[in-house]
Amino acid sequence: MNTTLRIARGEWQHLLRTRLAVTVIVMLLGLIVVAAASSAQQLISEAQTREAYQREAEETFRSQPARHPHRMVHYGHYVFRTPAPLSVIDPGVDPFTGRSIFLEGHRRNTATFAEARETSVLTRLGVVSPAFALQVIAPLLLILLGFTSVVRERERGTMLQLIAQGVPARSLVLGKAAAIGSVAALATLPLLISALWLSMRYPAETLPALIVFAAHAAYLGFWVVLITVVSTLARSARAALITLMIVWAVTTILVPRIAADAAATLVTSQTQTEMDILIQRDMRVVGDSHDINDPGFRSFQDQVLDEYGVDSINELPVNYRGLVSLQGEAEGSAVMNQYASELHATQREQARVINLFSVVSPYIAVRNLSMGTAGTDLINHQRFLDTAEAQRFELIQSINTLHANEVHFADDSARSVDHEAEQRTRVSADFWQRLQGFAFTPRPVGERLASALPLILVMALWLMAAVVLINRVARKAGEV
Amino acid sequence: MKVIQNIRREARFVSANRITRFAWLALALMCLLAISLGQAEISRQTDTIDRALAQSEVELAEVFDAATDYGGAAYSGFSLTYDSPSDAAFLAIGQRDISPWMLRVRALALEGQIHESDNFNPELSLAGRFDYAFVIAFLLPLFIIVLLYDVYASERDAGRVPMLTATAARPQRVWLARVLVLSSGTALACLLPLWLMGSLFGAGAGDLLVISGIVLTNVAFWTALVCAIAFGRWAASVNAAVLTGLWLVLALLVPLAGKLLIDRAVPGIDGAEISLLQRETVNAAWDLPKSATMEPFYASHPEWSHSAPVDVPFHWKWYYAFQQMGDETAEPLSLPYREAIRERDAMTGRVALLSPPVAVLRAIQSVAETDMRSALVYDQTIRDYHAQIRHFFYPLLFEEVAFKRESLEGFPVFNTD
Repeated sequence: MNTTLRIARGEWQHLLRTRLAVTVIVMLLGLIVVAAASSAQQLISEAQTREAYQREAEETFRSQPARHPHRMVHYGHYVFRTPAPLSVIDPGVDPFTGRSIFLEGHRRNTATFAEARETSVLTRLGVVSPAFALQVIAPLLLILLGFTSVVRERERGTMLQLIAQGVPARSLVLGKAAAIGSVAALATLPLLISALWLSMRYPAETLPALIVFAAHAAYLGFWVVLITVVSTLARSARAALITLMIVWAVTTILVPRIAADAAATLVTSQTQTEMDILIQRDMRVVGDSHDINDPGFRSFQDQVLDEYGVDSINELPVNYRGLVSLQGEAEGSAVMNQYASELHATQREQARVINLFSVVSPYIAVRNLSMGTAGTDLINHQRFLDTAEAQRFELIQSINTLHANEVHFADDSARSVDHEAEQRTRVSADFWQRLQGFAFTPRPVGERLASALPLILVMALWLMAAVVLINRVARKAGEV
Repeated sequence: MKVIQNIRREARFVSANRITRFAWLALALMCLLAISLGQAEISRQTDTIDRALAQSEVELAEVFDAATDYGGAAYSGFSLTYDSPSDAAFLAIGQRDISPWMLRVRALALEGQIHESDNFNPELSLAGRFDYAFVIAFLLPLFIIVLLYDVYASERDAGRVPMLTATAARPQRVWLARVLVLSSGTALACLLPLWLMGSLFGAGAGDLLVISGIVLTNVAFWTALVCAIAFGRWAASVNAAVLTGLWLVLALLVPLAGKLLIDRAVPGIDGAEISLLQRETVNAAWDLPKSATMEPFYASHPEWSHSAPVDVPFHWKWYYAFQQMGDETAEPLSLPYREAIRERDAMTGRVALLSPPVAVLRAIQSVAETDMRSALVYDQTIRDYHAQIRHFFYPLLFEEVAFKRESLEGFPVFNTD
């Protein structure tokens, strides 16, 4: 053990003497600290902005004057997605998804104003976040630090010298790994600090934060081992570097994009526009709920008359127009939800195709594990869309219920031509006070962890493979 | 003659190397794959547009057939706008996997419609696409580094430099020929797939020529950069490490720093404010006297000011007037919003001066018309078309023309030409 530590200390001294290595270490630490700090600052201001917008939207809704209920159905409401706490560490797909949704009657709108559409092509190359720094950049920098570690000793002939001095080959290899590993550990320190800071602010997120930290630590551990192993096996330092560079470029740059294209090609997903046209077609069958004589609501009318035991809609104790609105919204929303859930299923299928590539790219494993656990992945975005839809449906139906109960049918029918009738169809402003507040929370921790489990397994396999590899290589190095 | 001989000898020598041959082959295969995947994506998009266009026409005709007044026809009559991919779009998907390339609009306030996004799978957008532009901008430099970092050091370490230069009249020429062969081989590995597949998939000769120029410039830049390091005194492994570090800085770190700076320099307008303002204006009209809508409307549209006053609680011409006013009120936010996007794009152009990969990406996307500017052009096309729709209905509404189905025949067709 002492020999291993001595070798590690020697390697450290060597690194500190090398200009390139010092530059790399400074770059690595600087990058991660900047990423962690700017990401934390952005989250705080982003969260404040969205909460302010949400409050503003709720206040404007609540302060609406007396109105016809159907006006409020079209007036609608806005909901904003507050960022998940762990997006400080890993913003995941957040820059690519819309941040607000307009909730209104008759329509299930998409989320609007995605950051990537407003900023530049630079957003597509990477996001300034601790996750990106550790997943993509840190491995390359560790390669630059460590590729010569073992092979250098052999090229200079100092390897045999060391072995002759009684240094076990195993200690040599593990010592080198320990030296690179300590740099890697230093690089994860800002992440650990971020994770602990978040755990204090959001105690519920402690476990996910630690898992995200552990995933990144394991990922860098994998690279440390790989670098040492390649450096031990390579014939020359340049062969080691080229091999490692190729592995890095293929697993972190190439495969993720090929995976995305494979997913898009294997699982075709419908566009929103096409879906909207189909929804419009299906809605013709449902009927236009603004028109109580629409053939789509004929059987509904019979059913209502039957239920109340009256002969005409004029005799109903409630406003038939409101009932049609309720019925139309319920049927329409069923149609829209059908399409949306099919779309969500295809997109999750595409995400699963990408996940399969985690078997050839540890980067995909750690990226998807991290954003899934952090609550910033596709599923979480879909959860936002579904939560917003649930709020929309509840809001619209509660207003439609007012329409049925608080507005007289005769006034309602005359409101477009008769000013006084129109005035009577306005219901009290007090009703708008009842609006439920909207607060989006990421998926419950248990659910997130359960779906991250397969990737945790893949990550563990990668790490195990690395450990097995380094043990074999360390043994073999001695035989040479 | 001597030069050609030099080059032929070096070509034989270089292509005898297994690693060089493998690298060229791998690069050519990546280009082929990237172009094929790009073409698959673009043909999916073209098919989708064709399909949606047919469906949309059917739906619009249904709406018009069922209409009983112009206001109602305009209310339910959605029409499809689309941004057909250019002939070279398959070489760079660009913004086409995050910015919508189809949008349905109707005569209501546009600011409530134009910001709708499509439902692109964000996990696909996160990775980005494997297209030709990506291979050229990001992977090609790595190949050049791998092929050239030890072009000098390998001979020096093997002690062959004196022998090589002794037989040559001018020693530099030997190296020049070797570097030339290595880099032109690399360029050809990118260009042959481009010309072959590019013309097969119908890209214009002019576009292919410009993109070839971009590829060659990129190859020349990285060759020069690599040689500047490779012919120094450092060991081969140090060269390789320094070059990898340079690639990292130019390809990833400069863009990241640039993004941080741009976000700070152009904070822009939160799009949510545009929607909120537009919606308040539109909805407030219902609670205001009709004149509060009609007067400002007639002020900006004097051609309709002779129209009869609105004296009922609901009239379609009043309805569309306040939709128009909603857009006009939101314009002071909407214009700077787009201006901020344009400004960020312009600043990205300045970042590109420091990052050749970003410059290459932008250049190819600009030829392929899939860059931010093209997305903004499409945005403007939608706005223009929406104005056409409005001006088709305004005479019918404000002159209070009696409803006839045939009058809807002149409804403007979306046309990008």
